[in-house]
Amino acid sequence: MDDNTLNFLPLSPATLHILLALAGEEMHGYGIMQEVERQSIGHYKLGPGTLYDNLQKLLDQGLIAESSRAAEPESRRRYYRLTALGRKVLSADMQRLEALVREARSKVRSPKPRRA
Amino acid sequence: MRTLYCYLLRWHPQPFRDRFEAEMLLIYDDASKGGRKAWLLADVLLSLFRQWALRPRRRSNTPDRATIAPAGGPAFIIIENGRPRTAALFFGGLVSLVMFSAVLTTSYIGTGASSLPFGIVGIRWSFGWELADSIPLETPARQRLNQWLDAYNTGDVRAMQRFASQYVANFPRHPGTNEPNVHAWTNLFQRYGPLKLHTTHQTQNDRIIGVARANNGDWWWIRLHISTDESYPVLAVAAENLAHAVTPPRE
Repeated sequence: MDDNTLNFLPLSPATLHILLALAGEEMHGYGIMQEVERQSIGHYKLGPGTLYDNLQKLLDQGLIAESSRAAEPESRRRYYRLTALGRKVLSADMQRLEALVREARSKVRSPKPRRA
Repeated sequence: MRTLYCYLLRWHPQPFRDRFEAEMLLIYDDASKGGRKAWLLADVLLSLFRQWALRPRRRSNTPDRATIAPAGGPAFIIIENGRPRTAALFFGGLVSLVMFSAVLTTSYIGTGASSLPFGIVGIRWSFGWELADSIPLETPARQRLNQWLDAYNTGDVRAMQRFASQYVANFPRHPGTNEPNVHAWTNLFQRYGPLKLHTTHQTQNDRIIGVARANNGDWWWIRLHISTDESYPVLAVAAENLAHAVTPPRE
């Protein structure tokens, strides 16, 4: 994990969900919204305003990029994809979350009963 | 509802609109079929606030022009399209308004009988002549100051003597004629001419300071001390040249 990656951590829930949605395949905005809803089993819903605000930020940071794949000819939709940096940042955040979950599990695990 | 959504989208910053407006409308059309119009509207309102208030202003697509530096010369980047964020301008304007109101309020309070430092008068100077009459004329000290100025500005010995006889207690008199000796005032008038009152400052009920300007541009303090007896006689009048107070008088 290099310093460049660490600068982006921890990711906000919206950013994490968007990067996660794009980790599989490139998508357009509405596709990302639906994927985020599916990933979170409907618990987390992104509105278009929140989505594009985050997309704008991620584009500026170079974590995602507009896809070179041509959009459907008669559609105005643009597709977005994860960049190499975005993938590294996502992996780093996954590691962070895994460590957090491990720590949480060890803390909430019920203590073993003592032998008499 | 869609019209309202479009209207709210139009209020977003231009670079954001250029990039995402069409897509956001497409999503609105898709998502609103599920009956989530109110939620979409709330989302775009939140987005509007976020874009103007929280996000740094992004430049339009027009790139800034940069000049190529000649060998050894300085390079300049022209940011003619750059301007502060609207949110920054808004908050800057708000802070300026609050500060301006505070200064005005303080300035007006300073004209009352409270004992604010005289420096506050300096703030009033910057607002011009209008505030010169901010101490009500009804206060006895202010009335006496005006009466003294009226008499003095005539340049007439008789008018000054009348003021001295009428209002000044124990005014020095000529031994022979017993008329008030207003030589100091007439001498002042002959050297500096009439004084135009600029502003006044009253720290106590019985004391007032008038700041006046002479024809030659010199500033004068006129200090007036009155008695609080019913007829408010003047106990002392003193005029001091502010320039001379700082530097020795010119010969």
